[in-house]
Amino acid sequence: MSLVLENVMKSFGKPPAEVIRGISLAIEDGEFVSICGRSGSGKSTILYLMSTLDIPTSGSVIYSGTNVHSMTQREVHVFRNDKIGFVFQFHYLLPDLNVLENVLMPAFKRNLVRQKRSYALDLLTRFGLQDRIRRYPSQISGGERQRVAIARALIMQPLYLFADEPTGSLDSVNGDNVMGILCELNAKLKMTVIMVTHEPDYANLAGRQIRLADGKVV
Amino acid sequence: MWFLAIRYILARKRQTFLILLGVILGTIAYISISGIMSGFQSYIIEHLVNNDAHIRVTPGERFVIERSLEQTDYPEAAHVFWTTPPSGGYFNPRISSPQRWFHFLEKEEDVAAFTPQLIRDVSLKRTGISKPARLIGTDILKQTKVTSIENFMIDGHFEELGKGKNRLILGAGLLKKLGANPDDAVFIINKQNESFPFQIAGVFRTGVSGIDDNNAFTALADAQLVQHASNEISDIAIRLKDPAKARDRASRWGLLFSEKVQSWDQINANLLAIFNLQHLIGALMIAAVLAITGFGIYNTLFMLISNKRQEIAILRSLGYDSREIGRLFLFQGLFFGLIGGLLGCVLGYVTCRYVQTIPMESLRVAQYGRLIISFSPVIYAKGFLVALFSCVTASTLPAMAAGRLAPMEVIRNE
Repeated sequence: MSLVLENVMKSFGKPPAEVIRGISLAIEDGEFVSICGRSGSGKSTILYLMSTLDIPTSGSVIYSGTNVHSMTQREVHVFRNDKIGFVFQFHYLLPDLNVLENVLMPAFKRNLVRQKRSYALDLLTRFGLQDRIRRYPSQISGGERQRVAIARALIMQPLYLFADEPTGSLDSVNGDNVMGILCELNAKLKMTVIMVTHEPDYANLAGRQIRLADGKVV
Repeated sequence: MWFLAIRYILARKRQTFLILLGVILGTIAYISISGIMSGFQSYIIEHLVNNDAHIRVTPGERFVIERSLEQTDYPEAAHVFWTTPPSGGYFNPRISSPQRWFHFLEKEEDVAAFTPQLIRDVSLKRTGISKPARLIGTDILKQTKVTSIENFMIDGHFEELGKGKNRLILGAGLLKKLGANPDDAVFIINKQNESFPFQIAGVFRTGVSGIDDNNAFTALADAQLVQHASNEISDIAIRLKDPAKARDRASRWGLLFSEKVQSWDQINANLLAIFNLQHLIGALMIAAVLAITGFGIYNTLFMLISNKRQEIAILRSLGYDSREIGRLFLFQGLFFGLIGGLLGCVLGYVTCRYVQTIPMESLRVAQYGRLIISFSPVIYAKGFLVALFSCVTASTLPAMAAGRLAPMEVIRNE
């Protein structure tokens, strides 16, 4: 699989303000790509367009030759559930579920909870959260929440991991931990990681950097 | 989504308790009110159906209208103009050809039994007390087949009327008004002010005051003697094998004979109309209770959606589509409807059982001094479905709103 963007444009509001101005790029499987740029350059917008969460005003997002817009809504949701993992700046965990249930949430959709349970425990152990599985998000630290969010993104063993400033709300120690996990996922599992960041040190860890300015690749 | 819906419900214990309480109280109210109304109505209807004829034949009534006189008095006239239009009517006090009716009814398959009756207003007098009464002269054996009067005898047997001449069976209310006791002698005073001595041979109580306070039964021959109306009858009381056919048969027979033929529900149309009004008032009351509950659910879910926008967005990013998000909130309404409706049915049953134990001697419709309550499964099924319907309906709009929530709008605004 590969991800190709063809002349993708995105505008918001009335009169329309162009945020992404005709971006074309290709990302090969197993790449670690960082997207950086100044605030308002369109980093997060292009990430959400790539990840099918948002729809481009024009242009195409193509996964392994299949244009996302030719897929039905149901197919897009199944594709997102199956092939894509998200890590956001804020953890966005469900406060009424405990750590293990939060990690298994994508599996609930496909009735795969029983099959994925041991993998979830394995992920949580790998991220040092084995003694936190029955705790609720409000009972663990910020760094732990973000690691839970990463475990949740990985539970369906996706091909693509989209991370929108995953270290943005963390201190440097926890930020380094999260980056270590992302690098390991890319190196060992050959997972395609696409990460938005405004921190140059973390952007340099990626194999390729895409720099945006005013909605264009520079 | 049941798993997550239940977790959301359990996370808001106080709200959940209050919503469930609303649904439960609404369902209890529905079941109790419906049970009491239905019990009361079926008690009255049962008495109407069993205490009196399913179909009653009475002498025909003919009203004078302009056209009827135009055809007879001025058959050749193209137009007749009246200074004062004719009015009035002709009321025959007796059935003119009872034998034709008897032959007809004996052949009818739907007829279980019938009895000729002579019904006239009289006065009953005893030691200075005089009370108006409705004297029903009837064929004693046939009467017991047409109505279940024997079941309501609280003193003596109906057939004792036939054990001698000039015997009376009185309603309990009438007996009380006369200050009389069984076996006492009373005088029947006819319209000509003639007195006839009768002996009280028995007492009945149906629970319907209109019957118990006014009716007195005697043998047909004795009634005819009192009224100087030998061989005359004023009514034919008919029992059908199936009372549900009464209206249809009455309409059909009314076309074949000149007499007035009415079914039990036509005779008691006013009472049945009151029942319908009761149903309407009851339904409106229940609708109000459940609408308030529904609004509670509606508001709670809408508030929940505004608090959970972020979580909805994250669920969408995990691959949950708008229908699944909608279902998350619809399931909560379904949960309240199922659990609230079920508990409401159980507690409604307990409430009705308890109400039944409260002595209500003052209520004339109370059986054995207790309120009559229907425990028909239909009431419980309806109560449960009404609760379920109101909860699901109340959660539909919030569910649709949640399903429509665009994840990017939420994420962008964070």
